Amino acid sequence: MALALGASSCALTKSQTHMPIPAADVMALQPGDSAAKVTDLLGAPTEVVQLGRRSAYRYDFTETKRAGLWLIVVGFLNTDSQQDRVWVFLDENDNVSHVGATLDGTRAEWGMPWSDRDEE
Amino acid sequence: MSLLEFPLHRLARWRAASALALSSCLFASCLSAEFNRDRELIEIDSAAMQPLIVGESTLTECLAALGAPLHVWEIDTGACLAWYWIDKSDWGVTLAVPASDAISANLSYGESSEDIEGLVLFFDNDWTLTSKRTGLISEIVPARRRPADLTGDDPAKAIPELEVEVAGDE
Repeated sequence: MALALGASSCALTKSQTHMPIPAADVMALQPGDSAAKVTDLLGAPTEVVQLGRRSAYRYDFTETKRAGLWLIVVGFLNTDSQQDRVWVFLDENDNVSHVGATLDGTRAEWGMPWSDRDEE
Repeated sequence: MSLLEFPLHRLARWRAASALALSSCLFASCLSAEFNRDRELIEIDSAAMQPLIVGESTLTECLAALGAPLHVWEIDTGACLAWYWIDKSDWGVTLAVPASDAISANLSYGESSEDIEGLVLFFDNDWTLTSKRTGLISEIVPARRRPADLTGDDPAKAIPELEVEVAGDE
């Protein structure tokens, strides 16, 4: 037991992709707004999808937290990755028709493989 | 030495020898085990899907109930939106035995589960829900295709031919 504790190691890491998406900016978007207002508020989209003569812009922010524990010959590694994600749908005239948002990017957690996520 | 002390003393030596043998086996053979879990995104509650009615629900209602999708695709009849989540775990055991100075043998075994489940909603051109399917994403999502040609019926007109000039020393 003493050997296992003495020779154990652990690690916590956090990585992020893109910047968090401010909820206020998403809430400010309304149907009828122009594509220019979308890019003014949210910047350049991560992805643009053509939908016939319409289009959709994707914005995302991803946070990943990893926790590892190594006890000599046994290792445990847990990875939790969560996203802020916004899709802005534009009509044929490049005006906003729909907005869908999921802002869970800050909900990534450090934990062990057997642990459950803390649901809010 | 009393009669009671002798067996206890031998028992302690037997335990020490066993521990030494076990630890020697573990270290000399390089036995290792690992357990990994990878979770991405939060599973959509099935209760959130219940109010969505095929033929009636709109894109606005679907986005309000489910949040932003992971992917959006154009299809022949409109568009499809996909939500999915990942909860993958795998474990493995590796045993490496040095057979000689130059040769070692490895034996490993492991199991993993990687089923990407999710929900795909299909919409017509008026953004009315036409179908909703749950299950393995790879079995639901239609094959990717090129974006629709908006310039006419002739696909060749959609992408003008590039005129390439090669500059050389004259």
